[in-house]
Amino acid sequence: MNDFKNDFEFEKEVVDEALLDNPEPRCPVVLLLDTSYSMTGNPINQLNEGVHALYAALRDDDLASVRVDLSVISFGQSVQVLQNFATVSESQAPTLAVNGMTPMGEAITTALKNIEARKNEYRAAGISYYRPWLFVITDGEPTDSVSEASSMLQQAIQSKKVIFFGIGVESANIERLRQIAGSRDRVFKLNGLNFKELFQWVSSSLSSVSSSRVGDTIKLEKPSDDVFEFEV
Amino acid sequence: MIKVYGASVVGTSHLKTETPCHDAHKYRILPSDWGYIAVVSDGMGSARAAEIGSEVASSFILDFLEKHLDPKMSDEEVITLIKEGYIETHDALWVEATSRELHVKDLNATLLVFISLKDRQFYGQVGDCCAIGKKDETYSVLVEQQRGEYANATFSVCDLTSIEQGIYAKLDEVYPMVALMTDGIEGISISSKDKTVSHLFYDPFFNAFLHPNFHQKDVEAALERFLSSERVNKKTDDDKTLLFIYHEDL
Repeated sequence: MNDFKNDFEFEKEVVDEALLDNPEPRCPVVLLLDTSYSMTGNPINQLNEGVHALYAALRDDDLASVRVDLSVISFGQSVQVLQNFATVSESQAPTLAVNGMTPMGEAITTALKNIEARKNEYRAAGISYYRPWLFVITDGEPTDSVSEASSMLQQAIQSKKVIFFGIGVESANIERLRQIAGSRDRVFKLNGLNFKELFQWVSSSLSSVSSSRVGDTIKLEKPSDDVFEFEV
Repeated sequence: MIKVYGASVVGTSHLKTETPCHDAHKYRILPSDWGYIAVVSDGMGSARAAEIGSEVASSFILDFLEKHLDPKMSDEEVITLIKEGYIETHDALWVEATSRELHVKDLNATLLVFISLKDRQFYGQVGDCCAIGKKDETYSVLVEQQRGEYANATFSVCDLTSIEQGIYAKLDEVYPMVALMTDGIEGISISSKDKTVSHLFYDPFFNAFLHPNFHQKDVEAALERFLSSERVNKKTDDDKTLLFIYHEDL
């Protein structure tokens, strides 16, 4: 009987090279961070700590560390891509330095264009992806023209091309941010400078998203008070 | 002569949460070996009673198609029948959900149907299961995943829009050897970049049909052992289903 059963030993017959390593699906995330001069001192220090904490927390999550595709762009003296899209397993948290004004319009258009370019790269490589996330964190309001950025962003939000989070700190003009996004949803003011807590929330939310499967709707705790639910 | 074997094995993610296997597979050999119907279904992780959804969907459509299929049907009639089968399955899932005081979404499941009628083969696809065929030592992907833009897009037999957007078609060629699978297996055996099939993966399974000692129960036990193995679990934490069919006369 044993001899008979041994006719079929797929564990041995299917060699290691037979099992393919297809790339993990990716969740593209862009952090657009205000590094204008008004962020000098405690705000930029707290923001730097928060970004480093985000990288550390994502690295601690097996799936998020290989699925969250994170890019960091600062806007101050200029719009600068400090970190191109990369998983946290293959990149380091950049360090932010203050300088200049608040060219938020250019920053938003850069982020949206980069997201579309990244999606093209995924498609060419046969990598599936989740809906991209875009965060804007600012303590002020744009000092450049935002008409193109606002129209691109609103279109992206309405056509569900991106999940947008607008986060204001200190003297940020939240109403202006809501106007630019064309929506009050997920545009809010952070209590104090609690970036660390905010990024812990971002990390746990991205961990939920990156382990989500077909048909999942994720409930994410808003870092302030209520709970909101949306398709990822 | 038509030979079949298959297995559905729970993945490590469900073992950890003590959740049952959400996959189901079924088949029916049609009278006098004039063909077969094969079905795989993958209950969605977010659905509360996904294992019931995949079980009911696969059983119902199999019964429905067996009852109404006729070898004299034209290609168009078979394709229309498959789509009708999906709509009827959707209705049956509504009834099942209601009787259990659940929402139909709680039974969300994908559903792939493959029909072989002598010299014609057809399929229906709602969701992300997959089928491959082997002919003259060459492998082809016969049924691709139905995908939205995003990795977690929902295509479920519990949703009429998904059924409307489903794919119901006749294959251009006929394949004597066919394998149906859920997405956990596709991910480790078919390249996502260019859709090439890992022949090293599939050769041993199709060669089993040609073995003089082929006996369905023994081969199924061997397939289950393979799908439960640590090596496979290292590559995917999802539930895993493979259903192999060999129609010798094609």
